[in-house]
Amino acid sequence: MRLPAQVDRVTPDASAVPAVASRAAERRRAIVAFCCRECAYAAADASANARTPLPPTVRLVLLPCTGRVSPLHLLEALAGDADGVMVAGCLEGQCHYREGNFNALDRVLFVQRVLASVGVEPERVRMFTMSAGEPPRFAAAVREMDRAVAALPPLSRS
Amino acid sequence: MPLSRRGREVLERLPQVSLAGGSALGCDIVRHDELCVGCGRCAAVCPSDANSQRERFDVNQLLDAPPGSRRGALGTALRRLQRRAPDGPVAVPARVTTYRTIDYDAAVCLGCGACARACPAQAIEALAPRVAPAEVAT
Repeated sequence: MRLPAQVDRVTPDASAVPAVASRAAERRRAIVAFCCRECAYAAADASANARTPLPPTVRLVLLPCTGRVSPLHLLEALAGDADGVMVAGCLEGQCHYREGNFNALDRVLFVQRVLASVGVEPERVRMFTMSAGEPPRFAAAVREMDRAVAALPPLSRS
Repeated sequence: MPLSRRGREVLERLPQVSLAGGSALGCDIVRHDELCVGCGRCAAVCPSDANSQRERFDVNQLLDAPPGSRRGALGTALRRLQRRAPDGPVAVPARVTTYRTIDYDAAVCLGCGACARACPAQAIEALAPRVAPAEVAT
């Protein structure tokens, strides 16, 4: 099948060029989202099925429960390539493994304090909670994290 | 049992202590905080509560930890990120149980060495009481 003559797929629209550049900047930024299988990942899945656009910066990591998250996961992600790390788990009191999300929250708080003590913005690590039936809330959490991280100065690594 | 000078000091300070059950007393306790994994077993076995696990954590323990260990891995990551030296210990949330600094209080320590035997990370040394010949004679 031949394409209609007016469809030009090679030369980009002149107005699209800055958008491409900003997309490149977005691609350089990276957010790692540790999601629990029962709630946050299910919400992410449903949000993808509903074709809700997510910021292209986010990378999902599936965990059985956010209680698996250790301070080492959070710090290694930041020391590697991530500019922000979010932990997304079940609502308070609704963890499928009883208290995993509370454990995760305390580890997130601990890492935030450690980061603050060495002069790194603690907002780079955050905990979100949502239920499996709230795909918009997952998308909103990712967008909020993305906006917060974009506002911070770049993370310098030695 | 011959007593070292330090052992005798302990006895004078704490006259209610009985020597009957103990195999040693008056050891010099040397703690290596960079090797500590924060498990708190020393605090659990300490008969005089000289070791205690507190609600704060010294971030330098991560930065000084040996590279092969878990804390060392955390320290490596933190060293890449840090913009300045850590400013003092951080408060630890209740559910974080291992990233806690153990306080050692030499003033109430009996020098029994129970902590050194219990330590899984060989972070505590109990140096045997050094008995000088003159001290044994007296």
